[in-house]
Amino acid sequence: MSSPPASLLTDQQLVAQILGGNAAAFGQVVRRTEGLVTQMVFKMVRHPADRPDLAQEVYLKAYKNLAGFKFQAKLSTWVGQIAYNTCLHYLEKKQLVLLDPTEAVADDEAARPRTAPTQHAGPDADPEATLFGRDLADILGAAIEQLPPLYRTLVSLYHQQELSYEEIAQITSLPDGTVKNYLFRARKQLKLHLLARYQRDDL
Amino acid sequence: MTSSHLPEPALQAAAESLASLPSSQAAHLHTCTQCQRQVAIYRQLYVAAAQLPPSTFDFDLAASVVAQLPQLPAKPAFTWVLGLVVVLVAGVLAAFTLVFGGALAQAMQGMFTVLGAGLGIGAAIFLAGQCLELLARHRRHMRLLAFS
Repeated sequence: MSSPPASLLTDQQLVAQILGGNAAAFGQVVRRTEGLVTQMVFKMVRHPADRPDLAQEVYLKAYKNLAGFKFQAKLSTWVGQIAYNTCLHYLEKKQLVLLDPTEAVADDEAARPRTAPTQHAGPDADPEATLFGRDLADILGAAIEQLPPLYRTLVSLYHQQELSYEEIAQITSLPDGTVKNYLFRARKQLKLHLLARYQRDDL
Repeated sequence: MTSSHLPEPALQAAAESLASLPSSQAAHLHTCTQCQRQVAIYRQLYVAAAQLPPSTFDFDLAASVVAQLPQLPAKPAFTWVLGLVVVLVAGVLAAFTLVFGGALAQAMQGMFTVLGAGLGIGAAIFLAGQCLELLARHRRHMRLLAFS
């Protein structure tokens, strides 16, 4: 009987296959976790040119240390931890040559895919709340880019990757309370930024 | 019912789930349009954040990684040999202790207190150094992430 395709294997079966010498099965690990790793690399690293190398470095580290992974956490959480630590190490190395934030934001704007304007809220929504209807995605995307890297990463992990506070705490090695507190501050900053932006646009 | 408006954490929590609010805050929210508006803003912010297009690379990351994978180090074929060596070494040590244990204990008498104190102080200094290093590293990382 032939073995099932890699996409149907559980994380444990996949890891066993890789450790058994099937290196190609590691591609499935990458596919399962690349959304998370890509988000983290994009949010923590401002310089677009460094991101591909960093993402690949994350996976090469994961591959080399796979034998030491004992499933104390989910495979994706473990890979996320490697991504977070790799990006931190990168920031430590590059701290003297970090881009000027305004230049970096300009770079990111160019690299970010443009999106269709977000739909207006439904008919039962509070009329005043439709304040944010126009181009919210674009404005919010830009506002997130202006947050510090840690806040950007946390917002992305929680709201886009839909990770729990506990999973984020495991990935970042921060206490649960700290994660909640930073997310609270990040959202507040985003709200203030959006309100200021819309008031400036006289909406 | 609370007379003052909901604090910011409660507004954010209410935007995620009304069930998370204490009953007094839920009652206030039910009647206060100002707080309802703030909650609605957060709710829209959450929805929009979840709908932001994910960042992607313009190349096949999986294929690129698989092409670079080195060979994993092969498992040693005779792991039982290592086990045997460990058992033999432990056996020799046990025999040595049995035969010369008494003589050793006599020779070391009196030195245990000094040795213990020295080891204790050394361990305490080492631990304190490690804690300080960890703290400094954590602060450095937070500084980088918060302000870079």
